[in-house]
Amino acid sequence: MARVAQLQGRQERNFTGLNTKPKGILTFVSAVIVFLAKILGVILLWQGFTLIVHSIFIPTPIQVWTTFWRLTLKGDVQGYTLPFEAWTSLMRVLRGFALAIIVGIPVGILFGLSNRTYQWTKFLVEPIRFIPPLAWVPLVIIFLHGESRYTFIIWIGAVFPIIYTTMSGVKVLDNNLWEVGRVLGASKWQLVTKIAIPAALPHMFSGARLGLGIGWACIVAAEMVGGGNGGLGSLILNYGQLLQIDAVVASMIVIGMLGYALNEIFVIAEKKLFPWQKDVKF
Amino acid sequence: MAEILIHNLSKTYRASNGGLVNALEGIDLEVKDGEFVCLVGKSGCGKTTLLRIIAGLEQPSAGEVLIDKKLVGSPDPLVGVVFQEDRLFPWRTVRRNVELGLELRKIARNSRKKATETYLRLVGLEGFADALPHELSGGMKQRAAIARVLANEPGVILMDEPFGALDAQTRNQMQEELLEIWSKHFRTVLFVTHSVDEAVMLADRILVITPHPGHIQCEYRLTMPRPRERLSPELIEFRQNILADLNTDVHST
Ligand SMILES: Nc1ncnc2c1ncn2[C@@H]1O[C@H](COP(=O)(O)OP(=O)(O)OP(=O)(O)O)[C@@H](O)[C@H]1O
Ligand SMILES: [Mg+2]
Repeated sequence: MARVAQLQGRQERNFTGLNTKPKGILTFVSAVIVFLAKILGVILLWQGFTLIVHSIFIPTPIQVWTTFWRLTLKGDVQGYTLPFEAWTSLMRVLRGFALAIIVGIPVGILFGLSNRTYQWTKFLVEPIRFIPPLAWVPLVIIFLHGESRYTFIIWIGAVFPIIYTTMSGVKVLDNNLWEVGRVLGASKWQLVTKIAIPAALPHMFSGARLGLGIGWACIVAAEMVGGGNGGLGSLILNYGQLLQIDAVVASMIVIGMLGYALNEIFVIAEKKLFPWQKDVKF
Repeated sequence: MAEILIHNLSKTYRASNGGLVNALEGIDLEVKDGEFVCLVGKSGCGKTTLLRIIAGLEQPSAGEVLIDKKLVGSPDPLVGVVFQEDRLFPWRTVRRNVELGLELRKIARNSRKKATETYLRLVGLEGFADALPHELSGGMKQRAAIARVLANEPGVILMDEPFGALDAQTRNQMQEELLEIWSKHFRTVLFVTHSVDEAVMLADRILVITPHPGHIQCEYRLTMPRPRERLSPELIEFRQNILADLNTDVHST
């Protein structure tokens, strides 16, 4: 008892020692300054580039900025705003992503547990994995209608990273932990549900994050399918045809930023949920 | 409570280069109910192999292992194993790690909880029940691993260099704690160690294993009461004799 109390006391002292306040604020302020300086640097480079090249197809940062706010507040000629288009795209991506999880995780677990199943289906699954989502567009236009077109394209982009990271998560399971389960009297089913699946959970999360990223990046391809039904992807295509490059660039930046934000949400969640997992998250 | 009987046990591994490795040959061993037996021997002499066969994690090439007169073929929750590494489940709290064996055996939640509390207290981890393993020190992890095995209330406990990764002081302290637990609960223990020093502090009987192929070279009976004085003349003598046994082997090979 005494020893435990002593240990706890020592830990607390370390903890408060590391988080002295003035230092914390200083690091925060300097981090913000560095961040702003980096953004300013990129904008200056961009501005310099437009001055040198001087083409009507290369918008300046200011043009993109004003277009961004015009599209965000007023929207296009039909009144659809940028946040609305972003929301439309996000919902589509999430739908395809949800379906990719529903299919990818069980399939990944199955492949991880049964190498036989994986080897048997490999001849079919592996080639499909290497067909770019874009290549499915003509078939999708013929066979699917409405929102299901988007769902399919995003699904096919997101499902493979989910399957393969889940599978490797189940496969790389530490044989040591498996043995502990056996020694403690676990049945086959318990070994899977209490050990293999929980152990693979961090991998499933990483797979979901990668899948979501790819699904999000598939959005332009997906929205080429539907034509005029909105979304960030069709925004880019439409403005591209009108040669309004400032609007194209503004939409591209929104796609990039939202993708980044989605990924960060997952990274933060993963760090909270699996604090023992020390691998690189990107 | 249980006894171990081993008859003429041998284990041959096929190495990856195609050759055969004689890890164990002609092991005969009887461990009585409640006895504390230490296996000492140099690295690679087959100690882990022997323990894994007794645990049912590995099949012998010849011979047999009987626990309570029953042939061992596969792992049995009544034979507990403390591995050299702590092998805790990183996603489970200390409490839920300790509880795992009972959970797997579908013991009712109430009695599970009670047993878990008891054994957490026994190893002095009640204050860390809700911590995750990566938040513990090496010694605390090993204590949690021991509690996990004890909670299953096995008749035999096999321990493979459980304190090998600890510093000398923590190690001594863990030895004392283990003896205390063992004396209260009186279980059969088979304890593998590199350290002759550790063996003379703990064991009723010490078996010296020598390699190529791994076999039991000789055994020592220690009848001194516990807790033992690390620097007593008797222990020093045992230590010297055992070290000499381990060393003669180096010259003969
Ligand atoms: N799976 C295996 N395949 C092939 N050879 C093995 C295998 N496991 C162990 N061996 C060999 O069997 C012999 C005994 O190994 P074992 O792990 O039992 O030694 P040990 O006494 O536990 O050593 P240490 O003290 O270093 O843990 C070694 O020569 C080793 O190379
Ligand atoms: Mg070993």
